[in-house]
Formats: sequence, C-alpha cells, structure tokens
Amino acid sequence: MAFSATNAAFEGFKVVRRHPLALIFWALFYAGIMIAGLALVGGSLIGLMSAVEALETSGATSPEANMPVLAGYMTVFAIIVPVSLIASAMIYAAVSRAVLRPTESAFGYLRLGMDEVRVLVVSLALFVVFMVLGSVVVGIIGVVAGITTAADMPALWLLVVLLVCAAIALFAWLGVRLSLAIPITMAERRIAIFDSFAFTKGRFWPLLGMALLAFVMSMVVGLLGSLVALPVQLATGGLESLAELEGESLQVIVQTAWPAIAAWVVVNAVMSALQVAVLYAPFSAAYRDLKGGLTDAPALG
Amino acid sequence: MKTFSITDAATEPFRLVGRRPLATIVWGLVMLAPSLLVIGAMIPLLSEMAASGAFSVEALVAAESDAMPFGENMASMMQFQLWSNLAQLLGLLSLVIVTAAIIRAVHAGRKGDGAFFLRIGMAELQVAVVGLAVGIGFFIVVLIVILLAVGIGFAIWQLGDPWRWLLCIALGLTVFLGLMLLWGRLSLLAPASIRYGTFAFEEGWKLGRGQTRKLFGLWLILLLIALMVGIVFMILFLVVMLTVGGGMQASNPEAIEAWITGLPQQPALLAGLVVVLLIPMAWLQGFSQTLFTAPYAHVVLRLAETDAPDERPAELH
Repeated sequence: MAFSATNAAFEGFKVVRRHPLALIFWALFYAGIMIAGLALVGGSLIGLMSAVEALETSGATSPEANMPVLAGYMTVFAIIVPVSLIASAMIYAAVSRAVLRPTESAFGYLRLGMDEVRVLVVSLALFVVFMVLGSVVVGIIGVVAGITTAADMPALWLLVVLLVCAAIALFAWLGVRLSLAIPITMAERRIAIFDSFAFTKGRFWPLLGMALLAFVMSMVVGLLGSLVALPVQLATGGLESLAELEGESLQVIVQTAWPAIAAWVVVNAVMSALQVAVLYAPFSAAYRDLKGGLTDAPALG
Repeated sequence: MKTFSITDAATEPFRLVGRRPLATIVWGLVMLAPSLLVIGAMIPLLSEMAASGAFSVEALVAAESDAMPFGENMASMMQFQLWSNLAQLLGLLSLVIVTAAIIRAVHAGRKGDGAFFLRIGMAELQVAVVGLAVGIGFFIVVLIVILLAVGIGFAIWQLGDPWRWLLCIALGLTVFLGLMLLWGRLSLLAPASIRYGTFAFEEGWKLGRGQTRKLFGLWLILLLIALMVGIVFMILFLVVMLTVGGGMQASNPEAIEAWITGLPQQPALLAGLVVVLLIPMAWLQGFSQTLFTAPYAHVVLRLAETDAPDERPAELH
C-alpha cells in the first residue's frame, strides 16, 4: 500500500470502525486509571490544597513555610508520574497493535508485556533526547539574548528571534523524523529509537501534514465531545460544583457529588480513548504503508 | 491561465440570496438557533438570579473584590457559564454546517435542494478540519511574523527620526498586507475541499496561484460591502427601535433599563418581538455568512472549471 498522508491521518477512525470493542476497552481502561488516580491521590490533593490555602493566609515566603506545599506536590507527582507513564505505554502500544497486528484483538489490544516495556523505554529515551536538546537550544538562545542585553545592541534581537524560529523548526523536524520510533519498536519487537530516520527520509512534508491533520481531527473530536459533555454536566451539576465542597473530606465529596464525578469520568474516558486513537494510529499506519511500499510486502489491516 | 472576475465573485452573494431567499433565512435560523436555544434556557436562570439580587450593585462589587463572588448564586453562575460554553460550541457547529451548505449552493448553480443544501457528513468534517487548520496555522504565522517584525523594529530603532518612524509604519503595513494576501489564498481551501471531496490543502493553494492580488482585491471589496450593509441595517434598526420605543428617550439609560427589565413581565410582547424580529434577523445572519463564503466558492468554481476529468467535483452529497 502506498503511503498517503490523508489516508493515514484517518487511521484512528478506521481502527474504531473495524474494532468498536477496542474503543470500549480503551475507555474502560482510562476510566479505571482515572478512578485509581482519584483514589490514590485524592487525599493528598485535598492536603495539598489545604497547605496552599494555609500558605496564602499566612503570607509567609520563607523556604520553610513552602515545604508543606512542596512535599504535597512531591507526593502527588510520585504517584501520578509512574502511573501515567505505564498507562501511556499501554495505550500507545494498544493503538499500534490495532494497526500493525489487527488479529491480536483480545482485551481491545491492551496488554502489559514486553511490547509495553519497549514502548516505555523508547518513550523515555525520546523524552531524554528532547530534554537534552531543548536545554542546549534554550541555553544558546539565552546566551545570545544575554549578550544582546549586556552589549546594548537592540539590532541583535533580530538574531534572537531568528534563533527561536530556527529552534521551533528544528524540533518540528526532529519530531517528525523520530515519529515512527514507537511503531517500528512495536512492529519489529525490538527497541528501535533512531531507525525512524531511515523510514522518514525524504517524507518529511507528507508526515508533517499527516501529523497536523491528525492533531486537528483530534481537536474536532474534542469539540464534538464537548457538545455531549456539556449537557451531561448541566444535568449533573458538573465538576465545578465541587467548589462548593471545599474543605470537605474525600468521602463527603464523593458521596455528595458522585453523579458529577461519574459523568465526568465516563465522558472523559470515552473522549480520551477516541482522541488517542485519532492521534496515535496515523503514525503506525504510516509505518505500515511505508514498509509495504519499501518491501512490496502485503499491507496489514 | 484560468482567472476570475472580482465583480462576478463579489456579486455572487447577492445572486445567491436573490435566487434562494428561503434558504438564506433557513441558514440564518440554523446559525441563530444555538443562541436562541441557550437564551431560552437561560431566561428562567437569569430571572431567578435577578430576583435574588445577583446583579445588584452590592453583589457586583463583592464579585469584583473577589470577597465572595456571587455568594449563594455561585452554582447559578456556573450553570450560566456551562450554557454559554454550550452556545459557543453549537455556534461553531452551525457555522461549519452553514458554510458547507453555502458552498454547495454556489456549486449547484440553479439546481434545487430540498434540505437547503444542509447536511452533516464528510464535507462538513473537511470544512471543520480545514477551518481549524487554517485558523491555527494563520495564528502561528501571525505570531512568527510579529516576532520577526519586532526584531527588525529593534534593529531600525537605532536610526534617527523621522526614518525610524517611517520604516516602522512601512514595516507594519507590509506585515498587514502580507497577512491579508495570505488570507486571500487560504480562503479557497474550504470551498476547494468540498469541490474535490478531500482535504484540499494542496489543490486549494494551487488554485490561487497567480491570483493572489485579485483575491486581496476581492477581500477589500467584500469588506466595503459589509461596512455598507452594516450601516444600512444600523439605520434601519434605529428607526425600528425609535418606532417601537415610542416616546422613550434613547439618551435616558434608566428608561431603557426599565423597559428591558420589564420585558419578562410582558411575555406576549416578548414573543411578538421575537416573531417579528426573527425572520429579518435570520435573513441578515444568513446573508452575512453568504457574503464572506459565496465569493470564494465562486472563485474556486471558476478556477477549477476546466480541470481534467479525473478532477471532477465530488458529488454534492
């Protein structure tokens, strides 16, 4: 199958049409994660909010006074970060599996095995690459901006602006060139971080177009989802009603506002599942079509 | 090279609304429906809030000082916020549906359509995606261009008066002109998407090749027409309001406020006003949307009309 940016951009919708059950599994998965997250950090969040309120009331600015807030944040992040990393790896792997190995449809393609470990490793590696590069680029721009200010040479601000534009272009280019790393890792069952460069060579613009289309379509899905979510919120009072329960215990909050919380979890779970399919599936489809085009192998799916 | 007539394109909205007066009203009604629906739903809420003094001077001062924003009416205010969010989203949806319908109507020529060319389908998704992409892309371009202009501005600021001012003004005008030239080309993408039945980013862009200045001229003329139509309707509105208001003095805000706050107590008058004003308002809304959509649909039709057979328009779904 030849690679077509427009066709690939629609892969998320195609996956859901081929396997509607997968969407239900992914939505249930998201709902499970949200409920687990709420149960795990709900108490800590209330503690954190109380600490922030106490700090605001006291008006203290010393590092010691900030410690309870900092500790609260650390507790929340210590739980949230690993859970979201594992959940993201599972869902990205599931979407890729749905495109690349459509026959492995049990549990809506969701697993927790070596594929997910590899996806997690590749995600973390890409994160580190972008963080390091980001630090270097921001450092260079900061130095030039500092020199411009110190030397009192306003004309050099043009150079700073050009450097910022170049940095954005560099990250867009690198993002597109590395965008097939996870699909390759899934398809070839090995950690393949930089193999993406070979596949994306000479296809930067179609892949960028595909990514932008997928992004905009996920926004459209989000907007349409809001059309469903808002009447549901109106019927249940919405999460905004929680503001009236400020200072109450988690148990009281859940007992009082469970319809709003349940509606929010269900709607967001379904929307997140659909958006993740629309956003991630095109990259796997691009890899599948490019690989097929390169080797003349029959295309999957 | 294929080309188009600015006059023909600029008069296309008038031909279209003349040919399809009922469709124009229906398009306007579709666009007004979300606001009317939400206003209808909010009237009891607003009356309740007004009755409990949520809009009193004291309550507004308290809200401004953030001491106790809206007090016990907080829940009502949140409901109000949700309703207005819903109105915005439904407004966007109706904008997409009506835009696609107008483009279809232009492309259909004299052919009729029982549903006033209104559909919910793939073409609407294409228009929504293209519209969002153009909006986001244009915003990013504007941001980059402004950053560059600021950078260049810093550089030329070192020159003495009056050159730096002249150069800054010239730079501002160049940026504005450049962005408007770009906007003219981008305006062809949505109609091209319906004509070709795909996300016609490339096709739409290529259609405008060599037509950039004419598209800018078209935009200028449409702006002038919109201004004139706006002035005419403003005068008409004032005449109607003065007639309906009887002896009420426009310079007396208390009399106007009393008249407006007294409306909920006169449901018959309110319903009568809505019925009388709805049709002209719907027509105006439909016409306004047609004014900025139909010309570009006409341009796409002209520029693409002699394409190869494999580039025939997608069926008017």
